[in-house]
Amino acid sequence: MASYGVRDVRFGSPTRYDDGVLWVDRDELRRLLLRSGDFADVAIEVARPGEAVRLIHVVDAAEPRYKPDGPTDFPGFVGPQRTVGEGRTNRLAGLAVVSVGDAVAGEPTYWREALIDMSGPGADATVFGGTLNLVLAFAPTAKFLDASQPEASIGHTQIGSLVSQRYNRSIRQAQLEAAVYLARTTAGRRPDSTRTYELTPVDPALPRVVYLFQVNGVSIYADDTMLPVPTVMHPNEILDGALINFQANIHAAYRYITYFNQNHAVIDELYARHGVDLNFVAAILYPRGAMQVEKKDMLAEYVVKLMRMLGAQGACSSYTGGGHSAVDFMMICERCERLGIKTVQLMPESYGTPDEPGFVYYVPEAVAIASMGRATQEIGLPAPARVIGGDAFFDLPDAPGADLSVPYRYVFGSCPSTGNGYLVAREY
Amino acid sequence: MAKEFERAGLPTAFITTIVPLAQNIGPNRIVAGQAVPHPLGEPSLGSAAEKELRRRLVGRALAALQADSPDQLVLRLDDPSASAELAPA
Amino acid sequence: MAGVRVVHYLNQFFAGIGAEERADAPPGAVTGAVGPGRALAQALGDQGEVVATVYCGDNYFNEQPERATEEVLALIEPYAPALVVVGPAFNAGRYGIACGRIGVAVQERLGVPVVTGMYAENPAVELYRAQLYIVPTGATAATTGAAVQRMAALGLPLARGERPGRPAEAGYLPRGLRFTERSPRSGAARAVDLLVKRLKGEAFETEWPVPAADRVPPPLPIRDLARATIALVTSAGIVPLGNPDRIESTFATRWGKYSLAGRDDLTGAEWEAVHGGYDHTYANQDPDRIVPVDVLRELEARGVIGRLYDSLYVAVGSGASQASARQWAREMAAELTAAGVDGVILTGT
Repeated sequence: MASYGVRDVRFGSPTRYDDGVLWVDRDELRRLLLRSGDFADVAIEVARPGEAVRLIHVVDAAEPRYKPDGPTDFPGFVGPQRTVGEGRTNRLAGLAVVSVGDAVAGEPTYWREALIDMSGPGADATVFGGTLNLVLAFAPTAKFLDASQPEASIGHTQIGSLVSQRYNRSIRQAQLEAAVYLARTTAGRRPDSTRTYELTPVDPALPRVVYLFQVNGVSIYADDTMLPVPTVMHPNEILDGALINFQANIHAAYRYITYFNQNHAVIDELYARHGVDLNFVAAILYPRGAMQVEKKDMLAEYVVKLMRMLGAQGACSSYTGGGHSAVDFMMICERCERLGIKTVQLMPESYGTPDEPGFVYYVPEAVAIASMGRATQEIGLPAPARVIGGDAFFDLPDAPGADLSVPYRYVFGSCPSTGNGYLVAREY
Repeated sequence: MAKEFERAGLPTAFITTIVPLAQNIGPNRIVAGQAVPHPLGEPSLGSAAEKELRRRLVGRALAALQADSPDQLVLRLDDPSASAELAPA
Repeated sequence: MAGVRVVHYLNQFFAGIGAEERADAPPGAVTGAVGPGRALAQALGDQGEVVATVYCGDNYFNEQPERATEEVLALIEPYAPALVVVGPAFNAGRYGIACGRIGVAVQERLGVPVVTGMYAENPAVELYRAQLYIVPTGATAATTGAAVQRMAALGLPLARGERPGRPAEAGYLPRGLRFTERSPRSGAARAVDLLVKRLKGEAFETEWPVPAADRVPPPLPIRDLARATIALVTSAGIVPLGNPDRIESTFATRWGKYSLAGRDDLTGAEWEAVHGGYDHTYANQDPDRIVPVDVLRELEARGVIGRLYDSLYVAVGSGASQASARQWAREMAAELTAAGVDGVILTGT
């Protein structure tokens, strides 16, 4: 991974990376993004840390990356479907491409609202308050707004209509094309730093550790159907663009954001300790389970079977959030612990009183939880000077440009179970 | 509430529909009820059949009260043993 | 330098009115500090002054809590305190409940910060810990000196509008409230740290404790069902038509007890469902679907059970805090065991 640090983004022609400044030919990028024909317009803005700017209707964010030696970039979206995770990847560090936009016909919005404040207490609550954000504000063409068409009907209330699924895919496509377009400015240049991610052979006495990734709303190699069974992946695939957010109707605080998959903090930490304190072996991805109790048993057993085949002695386990997911998540912990596999769980919290401690479900074996912060707690967000992304919130009564007091769950990227955030909840 | 009765030494059979929750935070003797708005009833049956269902559920509860086991028990109507002897949870 | 104006609440015993025989004493007030209030005044030093002491008999309070609270509040308010100290109640249950109720009322209605002190196992702790700052004390008044020291140390900053630190440092019982803060370390760094500690067998501490397992050992089974008295209890809120005790359909504050004497079953003409959390249609058509009096009477007539206990105990579980539900069940259990009941069938939704 070759890192090229970005200290500012400015508009100008041609698009180039020069002495830490990324120059963007706005018109050229805009034309590129409009090529799909799905957008009536894409407004391109820069939001810098410290500016009194609020982004609303945030959908996803990605880090500009490209692989100068191939075989592909963002397989299935930008480049062809090939395996990633090996070879050189160039990244623009300190910069995020952030997609914002209003909902389309048949798109569920009850968990869709997401905001980023670039200054004030809100900026401290999310990594994206500290990144240079190149904001793509998408406006759909009329065909996506026609609620009368049959494919605008909502089949699945969480995922939404076929129309909205297509549109969401189009947004991700455009976002990732922008990410590659920007990263290509690093071609042929010397990086500020490089780091090698390799699961090198280590002292066999070191404990074998697996990363358990309960996934929801991410596509794996561009396939957005739920995993039929748990699967083993190389952690590099997660870092290198195989996992892309496709569902925006998940709480902003712990939505699986593409940028956080690319910069997966737990994977990063496990790599840092690989060969020192532990032997990082693999990642196991699993879907949240079905609604029936029997299928949950099967899912938990499958995960634990893979753990045993990998000889796992320890695990870090991320929680996707939600009710049914909590049962699978805890059942897996229970079974791992009973087999002697030491499990640490990463969880955003809710509620937070003695009568409602915030666990939908728990097992006594859940003895080591790292808190990602309590998403139900309110944070005061002072009025910004400028709002990008829309005129009205989906489900908050206030004007977007007003002083707000909202739960952290509306703050994009504030309590992620990938461990990228800095919030924690403590007992008082 | 059932656990407080148990703490006072009263054997208690808890008839509830939401069994997994009861297993997690509830008492030792649990009987699976029929449905949330009618745990000891089934309006779709005629009144005689419904009463028979209620008898069987109460029978499970009384069986639970007589059960001598250190483990938590969950008794259901569709347990294989029709005489409502005990099956561990 | 003006000291913080403090009003001190005590029960009849600590206020010097009298012991158990004066537990029915109505609320009253005197200027200055009384009894343990003197130790409190010393602990406050020149930073605070006990301007008045308000007291009430524990029985007077617990028998009519709403009225007593009003009366106590009316006595406290004119002194315009910046801090109200209640108790310490040590392990006294009735006193603790009075302290809890008054403390909450002072916070909510007078907007004045409150500090209290209780022994960790005082039943009032569970009911009020989330709402009040409770300093842990010993079980008896022998520990008064240390208790009021801590109460003063916690109360003074509260009176100045400061938010106390974490429970262990600031000296109060953890309230079970969780607040989000920013950590200097990422969630991942903390998680992997925890993992490495566990892998090395080192001591570690979870950041989010799961509730304690609290499995109660199963009580001995009924040996002779044909001679047993079985009581029916329900948390599904089946009450006599008209809900004479006004049990609330959610966030209930009371439970009820109703006679089953002479009844062979329950009918919708005489009973109704009031629990807010389910559709009442089926229960109102035939309340035996919730409380199976009909079947138990049959079994009684046939000699399968000895008898169905005369009283039906009723609560509404919807929205009820676990602490309240436990308190109600403790009260019911005390009556049931005193009455010689052999077993309970509890029905819920």
